[in-house]
Amino acid sequence: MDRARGVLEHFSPEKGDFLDVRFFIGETTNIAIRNGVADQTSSQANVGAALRALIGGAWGFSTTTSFGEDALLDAMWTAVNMAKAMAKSIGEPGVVPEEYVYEGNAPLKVASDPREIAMEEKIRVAVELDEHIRGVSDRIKVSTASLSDTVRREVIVNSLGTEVDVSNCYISVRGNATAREGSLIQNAGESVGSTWGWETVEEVDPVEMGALVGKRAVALLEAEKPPSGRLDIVMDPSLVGLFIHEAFGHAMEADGIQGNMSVLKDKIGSKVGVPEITVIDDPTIEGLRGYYPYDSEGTRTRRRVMVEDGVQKEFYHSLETAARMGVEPNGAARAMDYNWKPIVRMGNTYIDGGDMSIEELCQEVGDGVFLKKSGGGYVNPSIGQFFFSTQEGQVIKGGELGPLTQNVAMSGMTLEVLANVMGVGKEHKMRSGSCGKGSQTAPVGMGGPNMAVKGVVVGGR
Amino acid sequence: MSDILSAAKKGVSHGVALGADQVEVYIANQQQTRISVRKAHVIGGDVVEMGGAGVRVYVGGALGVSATSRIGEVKGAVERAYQLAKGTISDPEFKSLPEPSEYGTVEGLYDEGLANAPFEVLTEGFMEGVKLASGDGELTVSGSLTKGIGEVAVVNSLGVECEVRGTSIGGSIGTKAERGEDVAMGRGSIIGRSLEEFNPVEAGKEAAEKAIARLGAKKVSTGTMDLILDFRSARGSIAGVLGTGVNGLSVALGNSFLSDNIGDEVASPILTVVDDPFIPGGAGSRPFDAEGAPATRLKILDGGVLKTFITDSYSAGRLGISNTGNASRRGMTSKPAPSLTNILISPGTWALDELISETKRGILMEDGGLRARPSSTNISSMVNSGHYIEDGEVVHPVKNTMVGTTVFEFLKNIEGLSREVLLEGGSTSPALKLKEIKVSGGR
Repeated sequence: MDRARGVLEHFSPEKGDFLDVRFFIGETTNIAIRNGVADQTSSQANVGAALRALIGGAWGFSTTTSFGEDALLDAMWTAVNMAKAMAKSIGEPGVVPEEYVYEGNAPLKVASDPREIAMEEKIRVAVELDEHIRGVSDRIKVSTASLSDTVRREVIVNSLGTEVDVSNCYISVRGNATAREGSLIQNAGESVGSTWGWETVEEVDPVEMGALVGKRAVALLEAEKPPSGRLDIVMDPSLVGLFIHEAFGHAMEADGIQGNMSVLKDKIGSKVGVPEITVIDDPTIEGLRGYYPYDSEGTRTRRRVMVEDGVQKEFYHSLETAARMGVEPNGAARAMDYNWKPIVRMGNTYIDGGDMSIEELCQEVGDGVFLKKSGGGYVNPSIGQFFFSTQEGQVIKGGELGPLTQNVAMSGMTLEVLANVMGVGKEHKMRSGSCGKGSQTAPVGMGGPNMAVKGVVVGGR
Repeated sequence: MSDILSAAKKGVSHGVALGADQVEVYIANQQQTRISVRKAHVIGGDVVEMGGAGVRVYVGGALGVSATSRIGEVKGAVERAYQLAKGTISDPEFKSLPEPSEYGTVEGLYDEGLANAPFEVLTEGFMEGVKLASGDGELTVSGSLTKGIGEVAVVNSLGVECEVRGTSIGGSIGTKAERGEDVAMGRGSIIGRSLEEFNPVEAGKEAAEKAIARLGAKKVSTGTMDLILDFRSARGSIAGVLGTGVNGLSVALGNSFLSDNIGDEVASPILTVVDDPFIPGGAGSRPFDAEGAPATRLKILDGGVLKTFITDSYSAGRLGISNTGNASRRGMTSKPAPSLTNILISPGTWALDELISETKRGILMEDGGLRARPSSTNISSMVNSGHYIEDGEVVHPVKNTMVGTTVFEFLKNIEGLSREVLLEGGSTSPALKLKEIKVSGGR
């Protein structure tokens, strides 16, 4: 903190100018056991400082892996000079609100620090999980069990007076199985992640998780081909989470809104979905993977009601986007590490629960498909078009759940989906994810209940 | 000797002194200068040092990996990797890291002109492209430009000692066209290693033209029809599908769709694909791979017949075949794995226009590609940008459209390749036509 303050004291920013220093210390270990053999046993130290300067309306950014005073000063001068060089090419000048200054200290909150767990113990857990995946069937050709933990600390000091020291832990256990029958290959995976400590891993039953992953991969070898065309669907909580994060959440990021790259531009106060839809993003829920008490600009986070009863209420903001829109920053500026600037990101995004059971949702759909276990996707927020794939599906016929299908893909237009919701379920579940944007990944949480939607394009093989 | 080569050598010596059987230190160091553009104006610029050191230590066939962002702390990283190797499970399939070898010469990896070009001058050039992309202010433009100057060194305890330096210029200009509620995106790219390849004006024009041409997108009805992949979509699809199929590690594990298929006709007889790391200035060009094995030029498919897999030292050892020098790294702590470098797809006999005019009903996919799910033979992809074709004519752009097939059908059902090719970033690709693919539409 003092060292950062020392660097800033060398500069006398004029009104409207802004400087910040962010120290980043990340320690990661990864274990992967594949078919009984250690595929990966690794540790990584990612340490450096990120320095930003807003001078004359232009941003400059520089980094250094050294925490020495001279290196930090050099890097800040590089950032300042870059900003000055860019100042002549800018359009709307960059701006940071002067009235929001944060002070805080959020140390690591874990019962059991993963850095203190012996590597042998981490390997033992992964070996056990791997064995139980493969033990399901000899049709499983590749089983993988992986454990990952990262402890990161950011110290953020800026020229307005913000001083924040925040630590967090990200931990995950993953099991994956690839089953094969002749030329047919199918894959299934399960994961558990949190921002708690090693206790997360202790709560995972390797026998249960291994059997689940293995059985799902083998079952997919016998599954039907998925239906295709425009169908009524039910999405499970993992898909609802992916949808609300990817298709809708990214369109609510204010950097895209202000760059005229979002379909939700000018939608504050407008109806964006049926009244049953309420969208929350809450980075203050401890334990979920999208938990962070302060963002990478030092802004204190809070629960955000993004859409209430179908009406758009809020967007995601950094200091700069909040200043442009004249609202209070809501703590959405996150950086992957010291080599990247904070950009507008999500935390724990979910659709709030409704009151329908899965049986009632299937009855509502009649004939269609139940999409389960998200398998990734991508979105173009400026057009509002998205694509997701799932690991599996289930046919819905006559209002009843029918046979398992192989992976189903869905594509649609964001606003059409929220306008065509037929019913919202009551069984709420959150899951962990990693979100990619502008070369950076961020740990996030996402979820919601099951949800039925009319007329979605599904297909794939 | 460069600083990073010397640091890598010291790290390897330290590992050997600790008692490791084999040690490798990989150091990459790149200075990146970047600018970001929003609403056709610069927001700011970055100067960052990317890279660090990655260490692999083998003790009794067990592997420990560690990485550090601080190149000055390689010694500590070697010690950590050594401890990890001693505590983990050995891999009986591991044979050896690469032995020292002669490397071929690759031209055009480092361009003095680009290395010395002041970033202000590149920014001015880029902004000309941005201006064109904005149709003189009518359209919304965002983009970014990155210039990189870097070096890579790989040293191992068997005597591999190599280093290479390179320059790169990469950028993207995205244009959004709007007509009332109707919106469409176009994109232009800059990819190269020399100042000569810095083409912001072309990228800007392409972004604007494509955005405007994609206005008025309509949904199509579900059915079976032909699919034409433009140059980039063809390149992306072939590299994606084939890159997974011929990956030696996947083959060794049994989760590739190809296994004992060398010599088999696995694709359409009109498909010939070469992987060539020696293309002058290619994005994937290199004299040696990510573990210091010599890069090689490989014919992968010859008239649809599978000729080889691509390997790194580990997968070559497991399969008992030679190391093709295709190792690449995703990050400092990830183990190297085989991947393609620059792909050259041989052109066909059709004119690009004929591929379209001979199509009764189909989709033309642009700037995309078909993606297989990991460890699956199924392909499902959205047509992010594309046009509907009827009776040999491009009728309208499409939206909310998906295509689905399998890796086998994709490779077998290629019935036409264009004579024209796109040379970009060291790769060469014609456009291609697939017959009868499943299309799901929103109409």
